[in-house]
Parts: sequence; structure tokens; C-alpha cells
Amino acid sequence: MHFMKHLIAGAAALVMATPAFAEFPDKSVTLVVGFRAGGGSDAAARILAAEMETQLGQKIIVENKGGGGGAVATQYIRSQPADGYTIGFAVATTFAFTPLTGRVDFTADDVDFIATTHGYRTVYAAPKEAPFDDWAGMIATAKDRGWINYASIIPLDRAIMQYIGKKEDIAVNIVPTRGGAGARQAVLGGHVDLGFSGSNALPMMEDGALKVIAALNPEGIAEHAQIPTLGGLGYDVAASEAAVFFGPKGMDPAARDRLEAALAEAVKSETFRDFVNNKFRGFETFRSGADTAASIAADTQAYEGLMAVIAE
Amino acid sequence: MDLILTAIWNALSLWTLLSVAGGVLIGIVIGAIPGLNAPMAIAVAIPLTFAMSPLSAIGMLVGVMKGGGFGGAVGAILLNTPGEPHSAATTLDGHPLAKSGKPRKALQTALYSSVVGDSCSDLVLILLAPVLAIYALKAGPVELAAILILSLTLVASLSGRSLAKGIFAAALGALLATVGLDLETGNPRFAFGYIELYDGLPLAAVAIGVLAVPEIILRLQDGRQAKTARPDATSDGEDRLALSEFKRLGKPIFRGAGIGTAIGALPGLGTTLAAFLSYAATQRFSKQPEKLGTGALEGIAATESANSAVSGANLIPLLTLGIPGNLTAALLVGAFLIHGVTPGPMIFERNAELVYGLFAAMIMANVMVLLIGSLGLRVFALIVKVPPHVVYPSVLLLCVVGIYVSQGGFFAVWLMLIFAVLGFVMIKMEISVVCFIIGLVLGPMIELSIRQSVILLGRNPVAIFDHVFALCLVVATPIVAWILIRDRARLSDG
Amino acid sequence: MALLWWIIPAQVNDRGSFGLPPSLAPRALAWVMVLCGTVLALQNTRTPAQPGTGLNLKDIVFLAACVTAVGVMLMAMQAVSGWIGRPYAGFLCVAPLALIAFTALHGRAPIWVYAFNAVAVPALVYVTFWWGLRLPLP
Repeated sequence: MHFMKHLIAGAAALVMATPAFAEFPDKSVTLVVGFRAGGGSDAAARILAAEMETQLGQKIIVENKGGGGGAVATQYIRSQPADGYTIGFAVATTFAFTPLTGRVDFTADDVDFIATTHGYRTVYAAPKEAPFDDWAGMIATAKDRGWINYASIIPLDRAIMQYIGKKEDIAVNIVPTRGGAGARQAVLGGHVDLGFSGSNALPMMEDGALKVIAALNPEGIAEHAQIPTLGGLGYDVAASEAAVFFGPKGMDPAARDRLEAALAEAVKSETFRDFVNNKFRGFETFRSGADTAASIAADTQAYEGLMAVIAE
Repeated sequence: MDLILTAIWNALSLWTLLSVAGGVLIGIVIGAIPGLNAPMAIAVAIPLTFAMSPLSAIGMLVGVMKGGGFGGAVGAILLNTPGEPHSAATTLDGHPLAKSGKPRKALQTALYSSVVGDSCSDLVLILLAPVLAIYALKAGPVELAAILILSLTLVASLSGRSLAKGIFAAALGALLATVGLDLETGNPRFAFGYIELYDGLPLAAVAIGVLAVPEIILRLQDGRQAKTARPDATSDGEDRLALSEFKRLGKPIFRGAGIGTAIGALPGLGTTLAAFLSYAATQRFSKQPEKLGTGALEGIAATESANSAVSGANLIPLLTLGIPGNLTAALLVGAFLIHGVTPGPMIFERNAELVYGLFAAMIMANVMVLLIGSLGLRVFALIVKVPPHVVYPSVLLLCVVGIYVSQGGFFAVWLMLIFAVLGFVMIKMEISVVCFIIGLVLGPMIELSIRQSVILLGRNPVAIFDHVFALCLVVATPIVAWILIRDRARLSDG
Repeated sequence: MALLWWIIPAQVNDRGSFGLPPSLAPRALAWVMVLCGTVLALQNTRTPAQPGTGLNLKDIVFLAACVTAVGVMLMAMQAVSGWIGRPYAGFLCVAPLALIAFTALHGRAPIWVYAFNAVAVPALVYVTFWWGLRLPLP
């Protein structure tokens, strides 16, 4: 049923989108997803790609080039022609944080942004048998004992925790884990005191399997107002993560605008909104290409400050 | 109880049945293509499920997972092209048997052991999942490190003629596995400036490169030197698994199923370890250990039942904790999320209907693998009858295409080519490629869990006495190693 | 066994020039590798290699031929897909030629095999991967 609906919508869009003159796009568009096939980020990209197909009236070929948190896909996109027929999908920190680590040779200025389609939410989770229930309790426990064990997943969360450790004068034992699953295992099994987690910790908290004591994203967790944000706790840091569509530097403006408009429509679809809110448990947000570039520039500045504090 | 019955009844609807069957078919076909594997099959199938009802969708994906497992064995046995490192264990006996003109027998053994192993672990999952999950969680980095260190003694029993070469190969594998971003510091190791290497060497590319491509090159060379690579024609009667033979395989199959279930329930160990452990155990307890590696049915049965058992047991941590045990399971979590199923301790209350439906679908998928697999046996066995000058060039192309598609780019294909050279050299030097794979897969796990343990215990050394189980395992390791080495010495004497 | 000798010093050299990150564990791991390698090398000098095993020149030449064939195919695919910006262009142009090369490496094949491999096999791959699985190829 669903499929038929798309088909009809697609056919309708095709008829409407083919006026007398040849307009972008007149052939299939390749979307390079910067993550392995099958994860939450990839699923969002594929849903959006399906919606864009109905908007643009052309096939969208989804290709996965995972690795380096979107860096591999970014490198690839930079080598492609800037005609709008090859675009990429990565996250905000790919451009705002990864370049600061000095491991890649691109910055946010080396690509053109098309749009931000949705936001990610990230939290600090603690085991349910932890001797504390909130952030203040965690800090008190850590001060009392002198140290806490913290399960880290990505360089950014590690940097933020180092920053907090410095501010609070506690020793943070950073335990590296492989991906979200490794960190969750460490938290659920009570092998660490605190761990970084994506929004998949929320249903676990609702089930009483773990405690969520703070949110790293500045927007906080709308449905659980009691969870404080780092900003609310008086720290001048945050992890703002969002899904970003981008293309090679100097993209054809007409094509870029067309893609941005298609994405602006695509994010309004019921399928996508349901996915983001109820399945992915991120949050809805749409930013134009220009706004995306501005917010990434602001993030970069904030992270530079963060790195400076850690390096002190 | 009512709820459970309704759930099972729902699962038996025609749609679910069809989607499970479709999933199994997709899984077998993709799994059998050189270079593609079960995770790839799931990634391909996920978009197909977007428009389905959650139960059909999950049923289909479970079908793909199980079909993919068997498909992998098909590739491993007939063409020596394992799509995942754990299939490397299946090639040890499966491929020699197929080459000796009994491809059907090898496939039948794989199919039946895999279905038995799978069903056993599914039963455990259905009956004990919530309880087991709680125990499994208690195994932290310290316990995992101890289990992994003990498993390293595997190298001793699988290292072929020279123990030193086996250790060398494992060390080389472990060294190559350190390529990529170091998890602790976030700095690249041995990446030579390629960001493609930041996430480590792609396992599928290395496995295909080291195991499959050299084999193809050797076959091509055979053709050139006018040697017949064709297996001797055997009568159909001989190329079939007799019931009595199957009965004799009971022990290795159930041992494999036990090992697979235990390892699968502990998140973070994985299929490869289970397959090799089971193989080594079978070798240890076999009445004719010298036959293993030359095409013994026991070897196929042990590995296939173990790695299929893992796939069922993997769902224990996955469903109850949301922790995937391997790549395939990780993809399943993503798919579950898309279909509104959130894994977690309360899943049996919140999504009861779906969970019991899933259990029914799993059993259904086992039956389907058996049915479709049996029908497919004839077709698959024909591959061996295709003239070699058609098979090997096409398989070479398929390996390239498969790696390109599954790893997303030319980079992985070049890596595959480099590792093909390495594999070819290793085969010629009689260095165990299998030990290399064990090092490659276990090395990083051991490294990570030891480093985690050191960090965790660093501030609190007394805590080590909380880990009595781990301590026992560490103490047992040299003893087990000594026994295995003594066995080797006895074998080579006799 | 000469190769074993060559691999190990190369590994040691790598280590020196590479400068591992300032974390203890990888360095410790690396040292274990070096140690293991040295022990092996010593063992190999003590027991000379038996004749008849190991690589011979013919193997190396054949290996090089195969690797070159695949390598040239990859480069050609990359080049062609760069010229024509459509999916599968590179694959469809290059794969038939590559298969002819692979078949030639195998040798002793009747002409119909060359034709079959060059036409039917790429077509089959194209149909399965694109129409069946919707996966893009170069």
C-alpha cells in the first residue's frame, strides 16, 4: 500500500517536475552515506533518499562509504564533480570536531552544505546499581573516592569528559569501548560508573535498566525534563550532533537549492518524522545550507575552546 | 499464555511465512556469492522491509541471517571463498571434501549440523533468555580478557605442522589488526595517512584476500599446468550423507551447539571464536584426529553447528540488553529500531506479541533453511561440475565485485589484492593461514579487553579478587596449552 | 625461508621509524611481536629449509601475472567510471576484457569459453547486483 502511494506520488512529481527546459536533476543522483549500512544514521539517510526521489522525480542511488565517523565519505565527495549529482551524508561533528583532531586534511570550508535534517541526542548513563541518582551525586561520589570509571565511545565525548574532570578536579579513568554497544554493555553490567550513550539509552532508562543523569546535546531531552543539560549544570560545553547533507565545494547553486528544497519537503513526511521521533529518538530540526554552515562554524569555535582547556 | 498463542498464530500467517522464506532465499544466495556475507545480505534486505508489518519484516531479516549463515558455508565448501572469518573454519574440512568429489555430502553435513545447532540455541534463547542475559552481563572486560587469553591456545592445536609458524602467523594477524584508530588515544596506528584505514582493515577483504584469491590463483595455475583440477567423478550414492554417518556426528554437533550458545550469549566474543573453539575441541576428542583437515565430516559438523548456534544465542544479549554480539546482530538492532522494536529488559512485557512472534519466526526460519537448503543442494553441487575454466575466472571477478560492493570502494579491493599475495606466499611456505585469521580476529579483542581491565583495575588493584572466575581461567591457560602441545607431540610421533 | 628473514627485519624497521602513539599497550604488543619474530628467525636458521617447499620462480611469475591482471582491471574500471559518470559504465566496459584475461591465465580453454565468460558472466553479475540487489558498481 505504502509502496503504491510512493509510486503514484513519484509519478505525479515526475510529471510536474519535467517542464519544457531541462532542469536539475535530469539523471540519477548518488547519495554517499558516511556510515556502514544498517545503522540508525544509514536508515535515516535511506528514508530521506526515498522521499527525495518523489520530490526530484529521479532515482537516488544510496552508496555506503563508512569509516572515520564520516571522514571517508567526505574525502570521497571532495574528489567528485560539483554538479549536484553526487552528494554526501555525514554528521555535524565530522566537520566541526574531526578536523580539530588533526587527523584529516579537510575542514568545514572544504565542502558546501545542503541542509541539516535532524538532530541526535546524547546522554550520560549510569548503571542502575550506581550509588548516585543525579549529576551532583555522581560528582560527590567521584570526589569522595577520587576517581570514576567512564566508558567513552568517540573522541568528542572523551574530550568533554576530560574537560569536566578538569573543572571538577576529579580523576576520570577513561575506558575505551568499541562503539555504542561496548559502552552500553559496560554500563549495564556495572563495570563502569558512567558511560556515554546515544538516545537508545532512553528506552532503557524508561525500563529501569539504567539511570540517565545528564544530556550532552544543548536541546536536552524534551520528554524527560528532569534530565539536566550540561549547560544547565553550569558547564560551558555541549555536543551538538546533527545529520548533515553536503556536496563538493563550489556546487552548482541551482542544483544545491533544488536539493535543499527537496530535503525541506522530505523531512516533513510522516514516515521520516515518525522515524526520528519514535524510533531513532533524535529530534526534528531543519537548517538550510547557509544555517548549517553557520552552526558548524559556531560549533568549531566552541570545540576549539574545549580543546584549549584540556590542553592546559 | 493466551498472548503467546496469539503471537504464534499470527506468526504462522501466510505473509510471515512468505517473508521468512524470501529472507532465507536472499540470505542463501547472497551468502554464497564470494565476497558477500550475512551482514551484507541484511543490509540489502533492510530497505525491502520498510513497507512490511514489523513481524514480517523481522521474520524476513531473521530468515536472511540464518540463510546467510548457510550460504556462507556453501561458498566456503564449494569454492573455498569464506565471506566471513568464521567460515574459514568451515573451509578446513569442507573444501577438501568437496574437491575430492563429494560436494553434496559436505553441504548436507553443513546444512544439517547448522540447523541442529541453530535450533538448540534458539530453544535456549526462548526458554532462558532473560535469566541468561543477567549472568552474561556479569562478564566484564576482565572475564572476557581471561576467556580470550585461554582461547589463544587454539593456535597451538591449529597451527599445522610447525608450532612456531602458527604462532608467527597469529602474531602477524594480530599485528595487522592493530591498524586503525587506537580506541584509547584516538590516534591512528599504521594508517600510513589513509583515512580508509582509520576503522581498521576491512575483515571481509582480508579474509577473501588471504583465503579465497590465492586458492583461485592456484587453481588457475593448475589449469595451466594441464593438471586436472576436476574432482574425480563419484557415483551419486557415495556423494550422499547416510543416516548412520549423521548419527555418528551427534557428539561434535551438540558440542558445537553448546560452545556456540555459550559464546553467543556472552556479548563481545563472536562467531569466529566459537567456530574455531568447537573445531579444536572436536580435534582434541576425536578418535581420528589426524583425519581432520583432510575432509572429515566431524570438522564440518563442529564448525557449522557452533557458528549457527551463535546466531541464535546472539539474540539473547540483543533482545534483552540491546547489545549486539557481532556485525550481523548489530545490523538487526538497527532494523528492530526502524520497525519500532526497542530491545531492552522489558521487551517481553512491552513487545510481547512481537517477541513471541519472532521466536516462532526463528523456528520457521530453521525449517525453511532446511527445506530450501535441501532443494538447493542439487543446484549448488552442480557448481562443481561446471568446467573450471569458467568457474575460476568468474569467481575471481565475483570476489572483486563482492568486496567492492560490501566495503564500498576500490580501496578495499586493492587491499584484497595485497592480501592475496600474502596468502599465496603463506600457502607456499606452509604457514597456517587459519592461525593468521585467528590472530587477526582475536588480537584486537584481547588487546582491548586487557587494556580496559588495566584501566579498571589500575586505581583499585584489590578489585582483582572480585574476579575469581577470571583468575582461574588465567591460571588454567598454561595447563591447557601444555596439554595441547603434548597432544601434538604424540600425534606427530604416531 | 629467506622471505621469513626478510619480513621480520622489515617489521622491526617499521616499528623504529613509525613512532607508535604514546600509549603503553600498543608498544608492549609491538615488542611481543618483535620478540616472537626473532625467536622464529633463529629457529629457521638452525633448521635449514627442506628442498621442494616454498616459493619457486614459476609461482612468483604466475602470481605476478594474476595480480597485474586484476590490478589493471581495477585501474581501468576507475578510469572509465571517471570518464563516464554513470554507474556501471566502468564495469560493463572493463569486466569482459578482464574475464578474457583471467581465462587466458587459466589457459587451455576452447574459444566458446572465452566468449561465454566475457559476455554471460558480466551480464549475470550486472543483473544480480543491479536489478536484483540494487547495489551500485563502478
